[in-house]
Parts: sequence; C-alpha cells; structure tokens
Amino acid sequence: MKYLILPLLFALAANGAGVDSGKPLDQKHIKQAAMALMEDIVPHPPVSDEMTKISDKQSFALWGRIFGDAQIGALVSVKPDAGKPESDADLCLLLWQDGWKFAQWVGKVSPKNSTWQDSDRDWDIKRRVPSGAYYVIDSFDLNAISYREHFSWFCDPQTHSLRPTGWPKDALPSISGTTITFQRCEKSGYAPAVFAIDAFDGAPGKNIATYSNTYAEGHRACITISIPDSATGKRFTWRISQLPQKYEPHHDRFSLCYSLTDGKLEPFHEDATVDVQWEKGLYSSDAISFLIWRLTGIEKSAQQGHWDEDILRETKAGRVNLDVKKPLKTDVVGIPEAVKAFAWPPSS
Amino acid sequence: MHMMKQTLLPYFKIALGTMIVCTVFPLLLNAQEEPKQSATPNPESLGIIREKSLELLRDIVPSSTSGRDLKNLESVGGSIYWGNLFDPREVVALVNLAPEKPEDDFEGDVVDYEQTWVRHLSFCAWQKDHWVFRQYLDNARNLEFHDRKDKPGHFVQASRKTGRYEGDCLSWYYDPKTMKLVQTNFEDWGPFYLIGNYLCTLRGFERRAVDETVWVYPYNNGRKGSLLAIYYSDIGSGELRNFSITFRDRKTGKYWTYSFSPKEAEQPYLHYDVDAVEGVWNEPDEKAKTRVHHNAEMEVSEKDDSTDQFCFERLTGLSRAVLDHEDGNSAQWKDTLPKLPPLKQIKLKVKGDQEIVRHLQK
Repeated sequence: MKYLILPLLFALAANGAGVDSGKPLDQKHIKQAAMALMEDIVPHPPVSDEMTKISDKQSFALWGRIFGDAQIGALVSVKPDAGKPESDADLCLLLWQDGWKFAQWVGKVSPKNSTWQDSDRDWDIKRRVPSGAYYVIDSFDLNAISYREHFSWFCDPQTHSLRPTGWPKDALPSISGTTITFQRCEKSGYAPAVFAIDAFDGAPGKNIATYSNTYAEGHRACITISIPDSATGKRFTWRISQLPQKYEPHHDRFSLCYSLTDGKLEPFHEDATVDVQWEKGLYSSDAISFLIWRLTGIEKSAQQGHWDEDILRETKAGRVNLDVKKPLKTDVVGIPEAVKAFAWPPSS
Repeated sequence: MHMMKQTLLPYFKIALGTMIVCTVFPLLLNAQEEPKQSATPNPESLGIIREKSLELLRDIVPSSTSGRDLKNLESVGGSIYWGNLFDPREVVALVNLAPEKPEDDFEGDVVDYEQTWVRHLSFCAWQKDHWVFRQYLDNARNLEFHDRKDKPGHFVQASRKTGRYEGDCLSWYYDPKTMKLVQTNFEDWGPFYLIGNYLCTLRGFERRAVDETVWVYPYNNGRKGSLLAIYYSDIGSGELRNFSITFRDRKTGKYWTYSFSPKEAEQPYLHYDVDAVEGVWNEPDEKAKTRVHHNAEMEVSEKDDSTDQFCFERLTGLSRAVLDHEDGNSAQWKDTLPKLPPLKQIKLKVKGDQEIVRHLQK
C-alpha cells in the first residue's frame, strides 16, 4: 500500500518544475544567488564522475554529470536568509547549455553548511552503482519525521529534471546492489533503529527482511529479524540474543528464538543456540552480520544502510571493508529450522 | 588519615604549581626555537605543481574582475579559493592540490595519517583571459582568510600536520607592492589571532587535552612586539580549577609566572595556593626547578566564576577581551579590542610572600 501512491507522484513530477509550490520561484534573489554562485564556472570536458563542490557565504552547489549522461547540471542550495542559518534552503537545478540556465526550483532542503567542511546533516547526491542513476537525499534526523514536502529526488536523465522519489519521509534510504534499505526509528525519538530492506529495480519492491537491533545488559547485541516466507508470504521472525562471553576469543555465542507469528512477539524462548567460531578473533558485530547474511543473503553494506558508491570509495581508500566475514564453522544445537538456517559451512 | 592529608597537601600543591610552571616555561622556550620547515619543491616538482594548479583552475573563468566574493571549489583534484581576495581590482586564487599519498605511507590508521600527506598550496591570478601562476606557498591546508582595516590588510592562515600530534601553523599577509603573499612568521608554533593592537598565539597540534594557553603580544601595523602576558588554564578538563598567568612587572620590568591552585576539592573555590616564579622568560638554560618559588595564600571574598580573568586583568593590566576566543582553534579576529563591562570587584585577601601581596592587592 505504501508505494501505491508512487506512480501518482511520478506522474505529478513529470513536469519537473511543477512538483512543488511555485512560490519560491517568485523570489528573484534565490535564482540570482544560484546563478551568481555558478557564474564563474565554465565546465571543460572531460567532466569527472565525481561531483564538484562550490560554496560561498550563502549558497552551496554540487555540479557535474548529475544525470549520468553528457548533460552537466548544478544543484544549488540557497539559504533564503543569510542571517538565519537554521532556516531551510531552496534547492535549484541549473543546466549548462553554453552557459548556466536556471531550470527548476526543486524544493526545500536542509541548508548546506556554509563552512568549507562537509556535514553529515546536509543534502547530498548519491549514485547507484552500477546503473549510474543519481538521487538527491536531504539530510535526515532519525529522531524526527521530516516536515518538508519531499525528502529525496531522482535525477531523471530523460527530462533532465529532478522529481520526488515518493519514498517514505521517515526513513533514510540507501541503495546497495538490488536492494534499498530504509533506516528509521521504531518510534520517533526512540531506539532501536529499524532497517527495512526491500528489493530495488528502479523503485522499491517486495520487502526482503526487516531487522532491528538493541543492546542488552553487558552490551550484548539483540537482533530481531523478520523475513517473509517465499512460498506462503507469511512472515517468520528470528530473535538472536548474544550470550555472555566465556573468555574464548574466537567464539561468539547466540541464543535463538524462532517464531512464525508476525505481530506481537511472544516472550523470548530459546529454541537453539549457535556457536560461531572464527579463525582469529573478530568483533561480535561480524558474527551478527554473518547470521543476517545466512538468513537473507543480504550483504553488509545493505544491512548497515550504506550506498555502494560510498563503500567502493572507502574500500578503495583502504578505510573500510564491508565484506561479510565467514567463520570457520558454526555449531548449532536446537530446532531443525535453526540448524538449516545457520549451519556453516552449508554442507555440514 | 586526615593528619596525613593535612601534612601532604601543601607539598602536593607546590608540586602542582611547579608542574604548571614546568609546563608553561618549556613551551615558551620551545616557542622561540621552532623554525618552520618549509617544504619548497625542486624546480621539476614546481613545474608539475604549476601545471596541476593551472589545470585545476581550468573550469573557473571569472566573468568580471571586480565584485567577486570569496568562493570555494572542491573537486577530486583539490580545493580552490578564489575571488577579489586581496585587491578589489584583481581576481586571485589559492590552489590547494589534492593530497599526495607517499610511497612509504603508514598502512595502519589511514584516516589519521591522511592528514599528514603533502598538499601543495599555490597563489594564482587571473590576467585578462587566463590564469597565471604567481607563487608557490608551501605544503599547507585548512585555509582561513582574515581582513584588517590597518596594514597589512589581508591575511591567509593555514596549517599542516606532520605527525599524529605534530604540525605547523603558517600564515601570510598580502603585499600590495609585490602582489605576493609574504610569510608573517607570527606563529611560534600554534595559530594566532589579531584583536585590536594585540597578537595572541594559541596552542598547536601537540597532544594536550586539557590545557588552554594564550600568549599575548603587542601588535602594530604588521609588527609583533615582546611578550606581554601568558594566560594558562585547565578548562579543557571540563572545569576551570588551576590557572596561571605570566606578566611583566611594570616597576621592575621582570617577568613573573603566578600559578593558582584551589585548596578546595570542589566548588566553590574560595581559597587558592599561589606559587610565583620570578625569572626572565626567554632564558633558555634556566630550568623551572632551579628557580626560586614564592608562595602565598589567596582568599576570595565570594564565589565568582571569573577569578582567573580578574587576576589576569589585575596582574597584566590588560583587558580580558584579548582572551576572547571560543576555543583553542577558533580565534576571533577583530579590528578593535571589544569593550567589556568591568568585572565585579572581588576582594582578595593575600597572605605570604610580600611580592605576591604587592602584585595582587593593588
């Protein structure tokens, strides 16, 4: 149901500039400020795949091949009042056509930090790998539902305009491979964070899994993961609770609770235990990622809500490796469903 | 146990005062000795830097040479700061090339060591229809621009990390005659700010989590004078307990460093041990432990959060406004010294060394 309105929004968005209230377009200074920021920029080929940032006191822009094709565009956010840093910024699209042309007022976004440094709270352009589709994602506060009209936009290469994605406004989206992860708070302002991972083929599809994690006493991880049964469509839930360490550095032990109900959860009852054994000591989060991957086949970047492009960049720089670590073996004791789901190597 | 505390407490406080003195004095000495290690590249490298800098500027074509406010561009190739930065009739650019990963880079904590990679900074100017490479500046990053009404009128500040807790602060002023940037050599080892006719230097990259220190010098039309005062506090620990002030006795012309340590373990702090050391601040051979320590006890009439500032104003004769900065890295440049409302007059009772009494009970 939640995505039934998507085609309608897309249809409304087809005209690009008409997707939001036209009022800000009347404000000449927004257009002037956006044009002024870009006035010294004359793109020379070849234009890099990476976006170029420009900023002055009032405006911030990302420009480059934002549609994935040869068209060069600039997304400029303009603070309506330089004296009020807290107020929303206006996001505008400029296209390069032997000069910058004002093409579209896109919507309201979080004001990009006017200092030279990046801020995680500001809007950004994200690229889906390998399709090369670009999305604009506004900054997101997990503790508050966005009050803005739209939260994310698709950079449409056919119309060279931006259109709202229609994705939920209460969740931070990230696309990894053929999945899209929506990260939100279970209840506004409260933990735990919930990760809903859907299939993605240009638009969000069926839910693959939804999980949340909390921590029990002693900083022990507790995961609840709900997965639809491929045959019946009914959901089943695994709850995975980390057991206290026994000073064995190469082992992570978990208690498992299996439930076919997809509603109010029964009290935790141990159906099985799993002992994940590593060749060398790893963090328990590696074991959790492995268990989620065994259940769903979802890679760690999607589990954690990262964009593939970011992971590729970080991996290339040697900063991060988000491959799911595979243990030497697992020992599963308990119900057959648990043995089937978590036995490793699979043949054992 | 109580007896033991009573017996050991004075020794502990003297030790604390000595520790503060030992901290401040070596810093002073170091501050004067550290020369800048400028990484001037050889002619071949300079040619490459020139080529890369001009290449990075290729997408910037100023549509006019006036009315260009500072803009910043960041791309994979590096950063550019351009506009009428110094002369309202000329568009110039400071080009900071992307960092170069050294071949022998440490493989461990990559994120931390990236900050130490070399970033060449150059000064270019727009002439008619193209960019001209005017000057190579240094290996530097984190640029800041400051304008003053007096001369020199335009400053560029930058810094570079050279190790995990090591680095240099650099700065230049714009010389309108040569149209080049000239190194100020104002920074002893940390950043500085100009406030009115004072030049205040701050701590640099060293690993010190709790200390805050401001060195105050007179400043007049680009010239830095002799040290006027040093303000030190442990505010970084979350609460200001210990502080010290170095100043010059106006009668004798000698420098003194006063260290204040509260006797109370918790607020309100009403009683302080005062440890004073006389000495010429820039005598490199003098060790703090060889100095003569003068001691006194100071009682504050009522709880006041600005005891340190009150003592600073009383001992140095300077306005506390010179210490006006948000934190160690965020200096506030101001053309004139702000006029602050006078501090509430705290009544001080000082017992002990007569010189300390003379300085504090004016």
